Amino acid sequence: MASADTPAATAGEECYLSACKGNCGSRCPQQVVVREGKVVRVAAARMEERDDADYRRICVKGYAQPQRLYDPDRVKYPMRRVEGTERGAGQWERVTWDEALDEIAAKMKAAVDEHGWPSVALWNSYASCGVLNGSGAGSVAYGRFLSRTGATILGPGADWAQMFFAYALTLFMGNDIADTPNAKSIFVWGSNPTDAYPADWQFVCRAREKGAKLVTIDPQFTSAAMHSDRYFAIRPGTDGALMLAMANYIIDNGLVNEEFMKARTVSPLLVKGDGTYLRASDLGIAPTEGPVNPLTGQPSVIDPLQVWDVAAGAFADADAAADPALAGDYDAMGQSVQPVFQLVRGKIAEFTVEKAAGICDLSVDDIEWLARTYATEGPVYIHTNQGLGHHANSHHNYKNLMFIAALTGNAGVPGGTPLGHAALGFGSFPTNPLPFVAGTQKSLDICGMYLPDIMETGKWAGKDLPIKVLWFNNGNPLCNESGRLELIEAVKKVDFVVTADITMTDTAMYSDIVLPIPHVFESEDFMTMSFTPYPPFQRKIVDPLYECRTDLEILRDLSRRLGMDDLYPKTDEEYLREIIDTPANLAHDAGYDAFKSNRLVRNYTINDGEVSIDKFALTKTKRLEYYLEQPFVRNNFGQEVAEYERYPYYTRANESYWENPLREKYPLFGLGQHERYHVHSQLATTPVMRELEPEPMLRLNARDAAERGIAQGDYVRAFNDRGSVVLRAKVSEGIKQGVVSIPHGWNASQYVEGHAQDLTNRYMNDFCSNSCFYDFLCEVEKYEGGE
Amino acid sequence: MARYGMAIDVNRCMGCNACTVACKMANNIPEGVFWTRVLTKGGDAPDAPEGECPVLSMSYYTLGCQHCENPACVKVCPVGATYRDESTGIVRQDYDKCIGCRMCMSACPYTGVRSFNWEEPGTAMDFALGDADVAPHQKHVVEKCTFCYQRIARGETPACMDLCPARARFWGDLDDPDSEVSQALKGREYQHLLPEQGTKPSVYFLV
Repeated sequence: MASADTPAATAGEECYLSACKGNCGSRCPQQVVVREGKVVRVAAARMEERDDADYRRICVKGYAQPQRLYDPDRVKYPMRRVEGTERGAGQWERVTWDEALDEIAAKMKAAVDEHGWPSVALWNSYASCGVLNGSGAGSVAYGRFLSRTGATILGPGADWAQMFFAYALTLFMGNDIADTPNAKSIFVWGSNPTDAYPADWQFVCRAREKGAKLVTIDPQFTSAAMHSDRYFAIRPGTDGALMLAMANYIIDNGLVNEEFMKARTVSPLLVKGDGTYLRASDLGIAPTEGPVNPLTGQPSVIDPLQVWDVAAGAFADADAAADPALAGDYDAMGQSVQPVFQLVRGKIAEFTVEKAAGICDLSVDDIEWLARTYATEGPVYIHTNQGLGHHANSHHNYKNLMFIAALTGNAGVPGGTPLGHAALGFGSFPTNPLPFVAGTQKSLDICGMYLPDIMETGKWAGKDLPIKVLWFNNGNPLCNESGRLELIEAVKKVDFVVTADITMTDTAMYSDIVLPIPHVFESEDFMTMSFTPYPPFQRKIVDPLYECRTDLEILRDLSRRLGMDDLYPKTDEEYLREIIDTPANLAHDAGYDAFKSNRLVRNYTINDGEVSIDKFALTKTKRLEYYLEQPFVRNNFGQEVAEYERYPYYTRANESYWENPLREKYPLFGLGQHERYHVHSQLATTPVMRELEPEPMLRLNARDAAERGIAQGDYVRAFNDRGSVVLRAKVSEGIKQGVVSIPHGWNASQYVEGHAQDLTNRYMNDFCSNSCFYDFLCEVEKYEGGE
Repeated sequence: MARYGMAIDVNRCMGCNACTVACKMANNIPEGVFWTRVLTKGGDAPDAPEGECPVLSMSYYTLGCQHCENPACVKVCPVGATYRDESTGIVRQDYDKCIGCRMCMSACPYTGVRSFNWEEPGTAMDFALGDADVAPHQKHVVEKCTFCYQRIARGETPACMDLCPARARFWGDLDDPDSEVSQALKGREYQHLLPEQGTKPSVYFLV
């Protein structure tokens, strides 16, 4: 049913609500206009008056969705690699769904019979989190399949530095973007709110119009940098050293907010020799029983964290002490203990302003100005969005950011957060996840970037893991993950590879079977997370083009061929109702029928008019944590956790560092960009995007270009020992000297030769297993071949 | 009677091209043609600043037909295909009258806001995207921004004004002091492009 009261449609047209599913994560609600059975245009959906100014949103990528729907590059039919051709050769034949699924079923059966279900791996990324068809265990399609079979999950490496810190180690989410106008200063640091997240920018504008100072720290001159009061072109991969130098300056110059440190951060908590916190039980006080934990049915244990109360001259429960000490060494029944702050201060002392100036290629004045501004012109909102997370040393940045925020009180207050980011304020819409589960099998769930090791050794964590069948869904890792050439070699070693996607991606190119799935406007699904207060209900607006089938339809059919006739006993609508129609949702008129009725349904758990401020309610200590009492790794294969994982820390990147002898051969620091006309590889071939930006361009500093005889628009070759890429040069001063940047998300076929990710490295630190897109060196030369 | 105009806040504009694509999609604009686009003031390439890193400066200007009160194009059109619509202040282009002489293109001081369809206009799709009531694009005529005349006729705003992500664009009747554009201009310093040409644009840049 089309809604009649919308101005978007004119006579003869129908207007439906949906959402853009571009993988920036924003999932902006859209009005979709249909004329004569075709989607002809979209507009930003109008919201309730209380939300419209903040959350009504759209960008180039959203506007281009009708062209993505009708993109000539869509996969139209199931395709099979022509027998006898190599993977990646691009020779395809059309097959029927029966042929494709029979072949997949036969390959899976053979693998399972010989090696068990873990030999079948599903590699997914972030492209969809739909409850029916989305990634990994969180959907009906894949969740039921995995929990029934125990097939292996290979997940993304991208963005795991920030995500692992925030969502796993500390549960600190930061303040929502709508809090930005409360800031007196905004540091854009590790993000690009003007190109990658344009919906964020208006909040920064509002703050500036109220007089806020805007600072951008970035080796690349973005539009946000253009609007900034000060711009600092830091050397890539060195941000952590800058943070620690700022901390030392703040401490040494008496700019510490001690009251905040004592009351709201882990600073006064006492640490024992083994790195864990001193608790009352360490002082001989028996733990007491607290309220029953509803999850375990057992009483909780109360064993309060201890501080040294200067006022009493004795140990005290952290929350009861009148004046907790931030310094000193104390004897706790024979154990030497000291406050977190004193411990950390000692660990980071070497990172003076002078030392960091050399590491970061900034002046002493610059760093002192940043430290003073951060400490004295708060609240400071640090806008950061994974950009500090793409080196092997990146995960330390987040502890360091928490530390400078703890020192200065720039956290847990309106306008003040070290982790300012869209959407984090919004919790998920509450749904029933039981339909995602159809069995008791536990899947091995690890980062797919380890595939080359697994294929090399046949093992994971010392145990056999012979991967025989690989199924790519909801992602395009062979275009978007780092270390592409190594990943391709690993994929080639797998017996049988399937990709389900909407277009012929770089990943699909290396598959044996490619299965066409629908565009967001062609199938029904629901997403629980959104960067607006309106959970995106994805309605089937037009019939799927060609022979496209949803992931769920594909797995329904496949499961029958595998003898699992009962795996998906319900219809899509029945599953959606089971997931959405909880008693609480129905009581709030937020059930399936409400979403289906073609109006925006607000997430009733979001308080009206209240911007989300993270006041550390979810952290274990209920305090801002820059010290990790019990750090753990993302993927455990028996590795040790180094002591320094506990505290703020800086070490050089893996390859991209100034003193690296490899710089004699490859002097340029590599970077990537998330520019305006892509969302990763989505929209790579969408016509209007390519009209605006016809081909990939390597950003190169004008002085570096002159030294190499490269002029504006020349074709250049960027290369290192791993690989190379040929593309046009965009010569400008808008990038730091000695740094080049290669755009992210183009298909291999769109470069003259090679691929941006052929230069990047598969190396990851084994603490958080994050893809290190920016951790590479290269050289650039004028390209003499071809046209 | 109205005198429609727009104001663009240069201090907010981030050059994101949402307006460019909104226009392109709503008006089903042929491949290779843009009725509005983003220009970079700064270095010698799009999105390139002037200066030496890190001391850099740059700004964005979105550029389409300026819908001048004193339009140079109207004066030179030999057949009256280019005219100023007195009831809206919009400078319009009548494709049926246009003889393709391109005098308007040479007379207009704002480079690239008008384009000439040398070939049959084509788009990437085999059906028309955008508004149903957009005048079909024609071969051998000049076309340009219409301020989305079809939308204004329905009481709506031009596509590029529906939602600027930066909330940098303001629209309305310049003669109505309560209109969004009049309110945005109030108390703000503004620029016209090429004021020395005496064209009196209806597009204002807030600086």
